[in-house]
Amino acid sequence: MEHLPLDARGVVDELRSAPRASRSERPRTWVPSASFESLLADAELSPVLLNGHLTWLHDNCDLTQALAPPEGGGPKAFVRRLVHRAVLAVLRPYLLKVQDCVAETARALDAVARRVDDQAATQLRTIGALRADLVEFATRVDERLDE
Amino acid sequence: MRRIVLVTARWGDSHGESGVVLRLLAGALSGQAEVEVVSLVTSEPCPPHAEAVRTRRDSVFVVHEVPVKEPHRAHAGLLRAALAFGGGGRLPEMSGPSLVEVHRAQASGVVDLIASLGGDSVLLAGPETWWLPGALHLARAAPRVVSAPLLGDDPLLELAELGPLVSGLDAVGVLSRGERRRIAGRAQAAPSRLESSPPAEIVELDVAFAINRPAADQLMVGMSHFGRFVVLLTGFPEGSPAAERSPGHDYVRRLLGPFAVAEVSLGPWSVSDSRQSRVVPVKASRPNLWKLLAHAELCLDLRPQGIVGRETLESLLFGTPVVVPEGTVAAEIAEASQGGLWYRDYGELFDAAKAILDSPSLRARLSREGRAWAEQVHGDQRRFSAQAVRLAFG
Repeated sequence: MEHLPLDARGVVDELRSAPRASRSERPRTWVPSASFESLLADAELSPVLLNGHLTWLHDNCDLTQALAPPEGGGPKAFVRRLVHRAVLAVLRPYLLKVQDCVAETARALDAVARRVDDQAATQLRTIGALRADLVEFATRVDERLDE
Repeated sequence: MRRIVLVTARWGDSHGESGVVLRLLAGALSGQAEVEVVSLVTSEPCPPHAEAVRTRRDSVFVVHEVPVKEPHRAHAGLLRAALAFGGGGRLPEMSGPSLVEVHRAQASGVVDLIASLGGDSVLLAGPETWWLPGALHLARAAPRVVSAPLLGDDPLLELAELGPLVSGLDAVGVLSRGERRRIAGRAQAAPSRLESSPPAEIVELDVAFAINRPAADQLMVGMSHFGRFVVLLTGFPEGSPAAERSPGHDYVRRLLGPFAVAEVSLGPWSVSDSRQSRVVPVKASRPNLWKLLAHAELCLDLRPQGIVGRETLESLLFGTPVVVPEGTVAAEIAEASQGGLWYRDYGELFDAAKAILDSPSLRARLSREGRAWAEQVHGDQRRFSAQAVRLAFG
C-alpha cells in the first residue's frame, strides 16, 4: 500500500478500480419477488395519528364552552342561568370527571397511534433493506457461478 | 447586551445530534448575547387545557416551552408518501410521527411571544419552524431573522414548503459542505420573500466538540484482555436509529483477521477476537466511547449519519482514521480532512478497512492529517463562537 496516493479520494478510487472492475451492477439471472414492489407500493402511508376520528376527539374533548353559563339578557336568559346553576351544582363533578376521562382516552390513543406509525415506517424501511440485501446476495451468487 | 431568541422544536437531550448542536450553538452565543429559547414542545400529546407558555431556566438559558397542536391532516400523509416514493426511490428516514410534527408545529401565540421577548435577532432552528419566517415578517416581530435548517442530507430539504427557511432571510447557518451546497441550490430555485430582499447570506458553522483527552488516556475496562482492536459503530448514542443492514460482529472480525472488534451498539457493547468474546462491563457513555476511539486502530461506522457526524469528528480528534458510508456528512468530513475512507457497500467497507490495517504508513498519514484538520476546524471554540455571532447578528 506504500504506492497509494496521498489523498483519500485517490485511495478510494484505487481500491474501487482494482477488485471490482468486472463486477456487474445487478444480478443477471434472478431478482427478488415482485411482491416486494407491491408491498412498498401498496403500503398504507397515511399516519394513524392524523385519523379523522382522533382529530375530532381532540377538537371536541374540551367541554369548557359547553359548561359555561348561557349568555344574553332578559328574563328568559336569567331563568336559563338559574337552571344552569342548579343543574351544574349537582352534575359538575360528574361532568368534569367525564371530561378528564375523554382527555385521557385521547392521550392514550395518541400514544398508540404514534407507536403504530413508527412500526409502519420501520416495516417499510426493513422491506426496502431486505430487498436490497437479496439483490446484493444474488449478485454475489452470480459472481461465484461465473468463477 | 444584545439578545437573541432561538426558536426550535428540538431543544433537549432527546433530539440526538440536533439537540447537541443547538445547545452548543446557544452556548457559543451566550458569551456575546442573552439567549432566550422558545421551545416548541411537540413530543408530548397536548392536554386539552395545556398551559399556554411555561418558562424555566436551563443552565444559562431561559426556556419558554410552548405546547403545539392542531395537526394538518392531509399534509403529513402526502408528505410522507412523497418522501417514500420520490427522490430515487429512497425510503424516508424520518418516522411518521416526526413528519407529522413538522406539519403540526404551528402554535398559537408563538409569534406574539417572540415579539414580546424583544430580541435583536431571531434564530429559527430545524425544519419544524418552516412556517415562522412568513408569520414573523407579517407581524414585523424581529429586526433580523436567521435560520439553521439542521437538515444535513435529509431529503426533506427538497420540499417546497421549506423554502422560507432558506430564502428571504437575513442569513442561513449550515453545518456541512453538502448542506451548504444543497441550500445554496435550493435558495436559488425558490422565489425570494420580497422582490427587493437580497439573497440570504450562508454562514458556515463548524461546531466545536470538546473531548476529554486525559479521561480517554486510560484503556476502557475489559479491553486489556485484547490486543489491537477496531471500533465498530452500529448504534450510538441511545435513541439513534439502528443500522438495518449490519454485516454482524463475527463476520467483521473474521474478515479483519488478527484484530479484535469492539462493537458499540444500542444494546450492551461487546468485544471479541479469534479466541474469546466478552460483553463490556461498562455502561454506554460518551467518555467510554472516547476511551475506545482513542486506542483503536480504526473506526468503522455502519450507522445512518446525522447532521454533523459527531462520532466521526471525535474519532479524528483522537487521531483514529474512519471508514464511513458514502454520500453522508461523515464521508464529507473524511474527504475534507484526509482522515478516512468511505464505502458504498460492505465489500468496499472491508477493502478500505484492510487497506488501512495492512499499511501502517497509510494509517499514520490518515491519522495525522485527520487529527490536524479536526483540531483546526472543529476543535476551536472561539472560531465557532465567532461564526455563531456572525450568523446571529451579521
